[in-house]
Amino acid sequence: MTTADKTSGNGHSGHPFYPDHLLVEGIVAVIVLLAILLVSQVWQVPLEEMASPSDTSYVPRPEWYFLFYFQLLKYFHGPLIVVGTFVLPLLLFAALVLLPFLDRKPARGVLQRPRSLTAGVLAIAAMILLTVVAYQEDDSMKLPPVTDQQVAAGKDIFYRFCILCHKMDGQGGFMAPDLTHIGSRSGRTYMERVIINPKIVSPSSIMSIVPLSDAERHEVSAYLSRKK
Amino acid sequence: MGRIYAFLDDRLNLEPLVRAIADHPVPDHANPLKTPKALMYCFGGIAFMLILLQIVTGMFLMLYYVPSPDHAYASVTYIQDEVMFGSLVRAVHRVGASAAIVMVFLHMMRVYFTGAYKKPRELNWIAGIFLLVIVIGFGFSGYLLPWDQKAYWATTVGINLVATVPLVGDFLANVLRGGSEVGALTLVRFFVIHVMFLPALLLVFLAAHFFMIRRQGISQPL
Amino acid sequence: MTATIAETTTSRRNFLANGIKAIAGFFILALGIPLTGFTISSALKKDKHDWIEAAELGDLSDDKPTRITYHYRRKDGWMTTESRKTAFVVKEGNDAYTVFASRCTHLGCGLDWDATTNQFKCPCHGGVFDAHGNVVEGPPPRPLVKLGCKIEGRKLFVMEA
Repeated sequence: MTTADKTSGNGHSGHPFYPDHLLVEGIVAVIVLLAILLVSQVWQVPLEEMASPSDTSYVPRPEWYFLFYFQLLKYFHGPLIVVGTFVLPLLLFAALVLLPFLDRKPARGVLQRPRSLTAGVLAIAAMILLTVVAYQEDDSMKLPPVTDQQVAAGKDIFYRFCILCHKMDGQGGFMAPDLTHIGSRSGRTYMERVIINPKIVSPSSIMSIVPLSDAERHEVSAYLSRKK
Repeated sequence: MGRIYAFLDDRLNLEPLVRAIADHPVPDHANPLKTPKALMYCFGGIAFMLILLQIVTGMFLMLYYVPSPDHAYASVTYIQDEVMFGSLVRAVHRVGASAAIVMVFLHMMRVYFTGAYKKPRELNWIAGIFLLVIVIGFGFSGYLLPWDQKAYWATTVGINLVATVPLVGDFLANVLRGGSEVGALTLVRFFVIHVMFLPALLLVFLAAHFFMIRRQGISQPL
Repeated sequence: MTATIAETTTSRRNFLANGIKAIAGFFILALGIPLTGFTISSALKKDKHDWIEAAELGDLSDDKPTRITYHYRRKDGWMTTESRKTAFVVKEGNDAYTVFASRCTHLGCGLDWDATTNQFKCPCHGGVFDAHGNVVEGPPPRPLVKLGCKIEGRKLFVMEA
């Protein structure tokens, strides 16, 4: 007897692959295909504007199954980024490849393998959690596209409040940075985060919080994004 | 059908081969008709079905798609708006990709939690890990092809991740891009990786995966 | 007794095998119909033809076919291209013209006017047409294709059928 015979259920019991098992597999396949066709009919596959390498304000998001990983990368700052992009993936890959050699006990039931169970459940939980957080942060950052109306309204607001401290096109205050070319330096999401709470972005900031509605804030960031 | 089979069997002696594949016993604990729990033994087969679906829809999409920055976006728009069933075929390829990732992951979870990777199936588990990486590679390389904003910028970010790898990162990123910027060379590279290199690797590892399953059988019930 | 067991096993097998055939049929239809439509759809689209300004009447010869080249824009899949084609204009009478596509009706090779014999000759398989487009010799099955033509001002316009 070979090793395979001893560990597999391939004695004389069981059903033949054809037709018994293939039929069951086929029924599940039909259900899955129907589901895919249904989703494909209902869901409009996104196709955005044509690629424009000069448009640096675009905030790219990966496909949903990569989101957890992109969220994870947000937590590795500066030189630590290599931990997220290289060390962790390498460790994970090595752990997966070596798993059968690290875990050699014959016990197979997951309840008899508490460490494997914990590792597996934690990994799945982490992936789900990171994906959920990524979606939440995306939602809070969703910005309406820039329109000329918004830019004009934003300009109004800017010249009422911001101009008191910031310089723009040669006029305005001198307490805060010149924003004449801010659109070529910063993205809209960054600007919005500064407007919502400057201290979160830069703890030493002395900028005051101007009470703007979400719509007004979008207008200001739309205006500033055009100042290139 | 029967007569064609008889003709071929007469000359090629197919019967032993067909019997070996068809009569191969599948254990009761992997038969969903016996226990509903056995549905989890379908994940691998369904993942394979989805891979076949991706190959078929991908082949047909290539009838119209052009991997060049001048034409890629226009050809995808053409598929989407002017080709009969075009938006459906594109959507099936896109949804099927997500479904394939999900199925491969579920299959892996089944093997992990039932300890099916243990001796003698270590090598098949490793082949499976490589298949997982290949499937993820399909997802990443396919994302650039429509050449829309999302495609361009997500790929720029993805390649910049590679660039952070110590010592060889910048070099690897340049090789992936075919230069220092994401452009025409990158698009052709990603296209050829997506439709030639990865499928070739996929078929090799799938063949090894299936060969080992047949050799070793489905793991025993717990 | 064993015979009945064998019979039930066989009928059960047949039943399951038919189920698999039905599933295979479903897959072939569910994917085959969209993919067939997908493949043939661009072939089903009819080209839109417009009147194309092709020549000045003054440039056309009275006694022998004149080769003209006309330019037109054509939608080619996802792009619009500028294409060129040639044709022969034969003057049939006062302000009466016939325009022949310069393609052999055999397998589509380009034709030449042979001034020594006053015939159109195809270099590929030896098809020969007279000045009115009729087959004189060789394998071509049909006379030359005539293009629609009209005269406006002193200009000749053509339109593909």
